[in-house]
Amino acid sequence: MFMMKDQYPPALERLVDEVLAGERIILLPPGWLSFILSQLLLLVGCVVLGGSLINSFGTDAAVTEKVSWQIAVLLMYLMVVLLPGLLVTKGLPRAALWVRVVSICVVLLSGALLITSLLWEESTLSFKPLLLSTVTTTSALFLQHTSYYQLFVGFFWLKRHKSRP
Amino acid sequence: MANMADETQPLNFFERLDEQVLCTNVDKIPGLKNARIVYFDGKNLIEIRGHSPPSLASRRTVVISPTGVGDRHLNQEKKVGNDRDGRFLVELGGAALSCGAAFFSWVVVIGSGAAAPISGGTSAAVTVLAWSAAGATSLQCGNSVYRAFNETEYGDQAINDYLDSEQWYQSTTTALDVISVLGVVASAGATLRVVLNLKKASSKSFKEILKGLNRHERKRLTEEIIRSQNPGISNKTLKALVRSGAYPARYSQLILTQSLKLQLKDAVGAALSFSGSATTGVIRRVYVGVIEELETLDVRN
Repeated sequence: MFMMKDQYPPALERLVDEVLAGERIILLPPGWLSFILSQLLLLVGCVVLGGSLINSFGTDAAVTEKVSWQIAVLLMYLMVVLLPGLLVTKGLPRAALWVRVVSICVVLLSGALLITSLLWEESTLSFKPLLLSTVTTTSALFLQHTSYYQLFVGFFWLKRHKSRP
Repeated sequence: MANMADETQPLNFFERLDEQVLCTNVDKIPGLKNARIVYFDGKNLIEIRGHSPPSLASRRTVVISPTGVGDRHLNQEKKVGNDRDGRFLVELGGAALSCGAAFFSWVVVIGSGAAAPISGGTSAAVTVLAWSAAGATSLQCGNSVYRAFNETEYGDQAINDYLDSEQWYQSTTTALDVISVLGVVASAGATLRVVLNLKKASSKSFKEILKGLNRHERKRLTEEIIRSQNPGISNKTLKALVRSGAYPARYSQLILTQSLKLQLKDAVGAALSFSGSATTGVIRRVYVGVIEELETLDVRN
C-alpha cells in the first residue's frame, strides 16, 4: 500500500523543498521509468487480452462489430488507467491506488482465462495471447509495488501538498 | 498447399473421406471455422459444406482435390498467408515505433510536471496539451499493438483491411499524430522556459540547475523507504532486500504459415482412411488448399 504522508523519507521532502524553492530542477523524478513502464505494459496486456477475447468469443461476428469492441477496449483503458496515471503526476496518490486495483483485476482475469484454456480442451481461448497478457500485466503490477514507483507517487504528492498556500 | 497422396480413382477417394471428421478438424484451425469445404475431382465440384453467415471464414474455401485430374491451376502451389507475413513484421515495427513515441511522450509529460515553476504548477494550456499528447500516443500504441495482433493467427486480418479502407480511421490517426506532436512540443517548450528563467534569476550554471538525482541519492532514498516500512531493520538485512529481484521471460514469434499448413494437413489426414492403400500399395497424392475470396462481381450480359 502507498505510504501515508508522514512516512515519506526526509530526503524526498528535502528534494521537493529544493524544487519548490527554485534551487533545483528535476526533469525526471525518481521512479519515472517504473511508472511509464507499468503504464505501457498494462496497455499492451489489456490490448492483447481484449483482442484474444474478441476473436475467441466473436468468431462469427461482423468485422465492424469487432472494430467497435477493440475501440471500446482502448477507450476503457483511457478512462481507467491512463487518466488516473495522469492524475498521479498532478499529485493524487489515490489515482495510483485505482490503477493498482485495475491492474489486479486484469491480472486475475487473464490468469483465470489462461488456466481455463489449459484445463478445458473444448475452449476456444488461445493460450499464447493469454500467457502474454498475464505476463505483461503481472510485470506492470510488480513495478507498481517497487519502492521507486512509490517514490514517484510521493514526489508529486509532496510537491502538490507543499506548494499549496 | 500440402501434397498428401495420389489417388487414381477420384470418386473412391471421396467415398473414403469422413465429412464429419473433416469439418470438425477444419473448424479447429484458426481463421477457417465454418469455412466452405469443397471436393473437386476434375469434373465435378462436390460441396462438402456450404457457406456460413458473413464472417472472415465465409470468404475462404478449403479445396481438396486429387492431383493430375484436370485444372492445372490446382497444381500451382499457393502458400496461404504468404503475402501477410510481411504485414505482420510491418505492423510489429509500427507498434514498436508508436510505443516508443508513447514512452517519450510520457517522459516529456512527467518532466514538465516535475520541472514546474515555483508557483506550483504549469499553465492550463500546457497541461491540457501534455495530457493530450500522452493520451494520443498511448492510443496510437494500443492501436498499433492491436493491428499487429490482428495479423497473427489469433487475430482477424480482415479488421486491418477494413480499417485501412475507412476514411474516418485515416483521419483519426492523423489527428492523433498531430495532437502528439503539439503536446510534446508544448511541454518541452514549457520546461525549457523554466530552465532559462531560473538561469537568468540565479548565477548557477546549467549543469548545476539540471542536476538530477545521482546514484547515491537514489540509493539513500530507497534505503530510507525500506527502513520506514521495516522499523529496526539491520543493515545486513537491508542490503539483502536491495539485492533481491525477478523478471519475466521473453517469448518468440510463431511461424504462422507453416503452422497453418500443418494443421490443415492433419485435419484432412484424420478424415481419410489409408487402410486400402496400405494393403494394395497404391501411392496416394491429394492437394489441399485454401482459396480466399477478394471480391464478388456481378457480370451481366
